[in-house]
This record gives sequence, C-alpha cells and structure tokens, in this order.
Amino acid sequence: MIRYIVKRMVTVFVVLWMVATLTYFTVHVTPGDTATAILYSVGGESAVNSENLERIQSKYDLDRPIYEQYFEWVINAFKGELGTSYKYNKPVFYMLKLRVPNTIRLGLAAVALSVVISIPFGIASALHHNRFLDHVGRIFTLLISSFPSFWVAIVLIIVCALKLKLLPVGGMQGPQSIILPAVTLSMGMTAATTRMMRSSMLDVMSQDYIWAARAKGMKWNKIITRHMLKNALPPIITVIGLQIGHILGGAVIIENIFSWPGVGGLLIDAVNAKDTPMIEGCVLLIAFGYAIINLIVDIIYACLDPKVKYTGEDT
Amino acid sequence: MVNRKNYILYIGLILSALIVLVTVFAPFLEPYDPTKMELSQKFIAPCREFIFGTDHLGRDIFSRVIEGSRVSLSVAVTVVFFSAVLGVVLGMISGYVGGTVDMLIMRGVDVLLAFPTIIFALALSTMLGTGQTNLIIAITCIQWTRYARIARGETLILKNAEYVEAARSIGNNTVQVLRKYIFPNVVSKIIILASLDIGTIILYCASLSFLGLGAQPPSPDWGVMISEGKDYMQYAPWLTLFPGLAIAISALAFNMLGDGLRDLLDPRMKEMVRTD
Repeated sequence: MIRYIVKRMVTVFVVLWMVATLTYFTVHVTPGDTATAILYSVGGESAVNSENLERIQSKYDLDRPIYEQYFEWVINAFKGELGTSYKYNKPVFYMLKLRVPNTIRLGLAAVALSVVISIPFGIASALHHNRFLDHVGRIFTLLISSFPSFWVAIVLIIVCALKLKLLPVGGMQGPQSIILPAVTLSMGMTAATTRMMRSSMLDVMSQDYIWAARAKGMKWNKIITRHMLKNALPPIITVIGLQIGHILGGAVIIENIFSWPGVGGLLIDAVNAKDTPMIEGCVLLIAFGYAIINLIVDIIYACLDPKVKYTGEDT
Repeated sequence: MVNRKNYILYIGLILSALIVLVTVFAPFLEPYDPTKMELSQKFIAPCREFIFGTDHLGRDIFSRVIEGSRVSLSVAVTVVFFSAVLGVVLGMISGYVGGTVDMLIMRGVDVLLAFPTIIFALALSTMLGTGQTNLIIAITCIQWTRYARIARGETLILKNAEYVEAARSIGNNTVQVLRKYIFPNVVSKIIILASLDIGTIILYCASLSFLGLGAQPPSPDWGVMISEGKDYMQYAPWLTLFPGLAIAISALAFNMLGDGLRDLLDPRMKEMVRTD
C-alpha cells in the first residue's frame, strides 16, 4: 500500500514537472516579444516604444538565454514564486491566495450538489432498469449534458434574478449568491455521475452473488444496501475525481458570468490583458489542483478496493 | 427496427440528419442576409416577419442561427477528424510497438490530460492568438488523447491474437498489420467516440467563442451571438435564447446519436468514454 502511494506520488510529480514545462512553453514563449506584451498589458498600444522596451527588458531579466529563464522559472514555480503580475503589479501568488478559497467554495458546493442528486438518481434508474423512471433519467441526463452551461447561467439570471428577483445577479454577497453559480456548474457532472452510477449498479446487479443472496431469501432492501451499494459505489469515486476537471474548467466560464471572485475570473482577465505570469500561475494552479485531487482519489480508491493491483498502471 | 430500446438512436439520427441538411442548404433557408445590418430595425421582438427577432445591429437572428450551424458543425467535424486520425495512429503505434515509444506517447497523453480542456485551450490561445483556426488547433491538441487511449487499448488486446500473428508470419510489416488487421477492429469504437465527441466539441467551441477566443464578431457563431446578446438580456432575451437553443439541440442530436450507436454496436463499452 505504502509502495503504491509512493509510486503514484512520484508519477504525479513527474507529470507536474511536465505540466509546468508545457505551460511555460505555451504561455511564456509567445511568438511576439515578451517586453512588448508587458507594455501592452500595462498601457495598451501607446506604451510600446523603444525606451520603455529597454527598461522592461532589464527589469524582468528578459535578455538572458531562454533555458536559464526556464529552469529558474520552474524551480521558482515549485517554491510558489510565480512572478509578478504585469497588470496588477503584485505577486501572482498573493493574488491567487486571495481568490483560491472562493473557487474552492464554489467547486465544493457544485460537487456536493451533483453528488446529492446523481447518486440516488443513478441507483433508482438502475433499479427501474428499462422502465419509466430509467427512460426519464436517460433523457434528463442527455438534456442537461447538451445545454451549454454559460447559456443556462444567462437564462437563470434572466429568470431568477432579473424577472423574479429571488436571487442576486452575481458577485459574492451573502450565502444565497452561491446558489445560481453552483447549480449551473454542477450540471455536467450530475449527468455524467448519474450515468456512471446507473451502469455501475447494473454491473453489480447481474453478479452471481446477488442471485445467491436472493436465493437464500435475503430481503431486497438489505441486498441493495449490503451487497449492491458496497460494490457499486467505489468506481464512482474515480468518476467524481475526473469530473472535478470539468468543474475546474467550467468554473472559468461560470465565475466570469456571475462575477464570482475566483481564480477563473482572474484567468480570463489575464488572458484578455496578455498578463503572462498571471496566466501561467492560474493554469499551473488549476492543473496542479486537478492532479493532486486525482492522486487523492486514486489512493482512496485503492484503500476501498482490494482488487486494485498496486502497480501504478493507469491504463 | 424502431423499438423502445433504441428510440434514442433513431431520434438522434433524425435530428443529426436535419442539422446536416440545414447546414448544407443554409443559404436557401435564410430569409435575410445574416450579416446585413439595418439599424432602423434593431431589437425587434420575434414576430411574423422576423421569427427569432433582430439583434442590436438589426440583423435577422433566424438567418444568423442558420448560418451559425455552418460555423459550429465545420469546426466540430474538423476537430473530430484530426483528433481521430492523430489519436488512432499514435494509439495503435503505442500499443503495437510498446516499450519506450509507448511510454513516451502515454506520458504525453497523461500530461495533456492533466489540464482541463478549457484551461489548456485558454493557455494555448495566448500563444497562438484568437480565431477559429487556432481554436481548432487548441481543442485538437487535447482531444486526440481520448482516441489514442481507446486505440491503444484495443491494439494491446488484438496484437497477440492468432490472426494477427498469422498476418505477421506471412510477411506483413508493421504498417500493413496495423492498417489491414488491427485498424478495422478499432474503427467501430472510434466511430462511437467520434459521434459522441461532436456534441462535446460543439459545446467547447461555443464556450470558447463565448469567452472571445474562437470566431470573432461579426461572425454568426452561436457562442459569439450569445456573448454579444448577454448585455441586452434583460430587455431583449431573444438575442441569447435562440442561439443557445441551437447549441443545445445540435449537441443533443449528436449525443443521442452517439449514445444510441454505442448501445447498438458495443453495449459493453464503458461509460468512461464520456468523461474527460
């Protein structure tokens, strides 16, 4: 067990290193000149002139060879030093620290909401296999996974906030302002988890030990709780881990629409302002968070399911 | 034929066929020029003359939604095509050759999968710049990994099958074995994944254009239309309503098609292909 965890952690570390490298080379090494980009993000078109360019180049050490800059950047990134935002002129790490708790709050609310809906719904669909409830469930999951979340967000704002005036349009004042963003963010995950829960239950239901339990006269309710759920739930944990990626990606859009002060809004602002250190910081943070969540999920899964061979192979 | 079990497939098939027809015959279905501005006719609510209303620049929304199907579908099909080709080739090589090549390709896949798709597309767009071609490149960069995993898995199962061994022993080289004996057995899973993917990619593209990274105004892209219309949502909700429904209906059509195809061709294929 310990060996499995150590092995997984080493793999994750290697992946994180490569993620950092890929982020550096996609974001940092823009085809244009970095100094121009900095001036552009601070002062727009008019700030770009030769005098300013020279000043910026010496200030940010841009005249050194690229590999030196790369190694320094990666090592600093692992230490949490992500540079200074061009736009806000504050350390990226400081800005992220302010915003991360809000994204976590929104993400947790969305995950909790979708787990609460999807698991009972998935179980019920499987128990009513090919009957009315199952068809309703299937159409429901197809529908909610087909509506674009940003559009649903806008419709909810029109209906719940502007017309009925029940909930705030956006921002983060009071506990009721989390409702709309969390609901929209949880949609995709709810659909995927419901389907997975249903098929996991169906897999378990066709096993011989269920027949054995029925044959010996065990009560149906007991079979469901003792035999089915116990075996059908663990695979769902992996799906939830993977769906967190969706939540993190979706948060970027949803936070933007609801003006939720999280990392997503920061990232979009940074992209629009070409604020390279900020983009790198946000992308790295999200990818790191996602990788670490999945590491934790894998470890929980290995603890629950003794069948997992501790080889560290994931495919 | 049509029974209660595969109704999803048939509804999906009919809807997708309709969407493809709309895309092909778009110029004949548009009552007005989708880019023509008529400022005297802005913000007209849906009526008999303009069934979806007009937008803030007086353009006919119905015509724009129809024209938008061309943008969305062409992007989605292009992304799926290139992802499938790249993914299948690399996945089959990875599974068949094994060793260091396999390790390198699969570690590459792991790294790309460490990014949520939208996040990676955002990062890449800062390098490539905004625009439709760059959007296609950005999504393809992530999406091929899904095909690669499926193709690799299938190849690993098939490569020790007796008929493949026989094919090798009569003198077929690696390329021939992969092309003639492995690929035909991988293709059904790839078709299922591709049809499911079109719906997903329509949604991704719409989200990214909504954020301003894909097609640029005045293109009649659905994501762009919603983004333009959201400022007027309180007084003229039809600006955002109809493009949104268009996205949802097309995504739904291809999701149903893929879902039904999976049930028909490969009932045991794990639902896992849907998650990414």
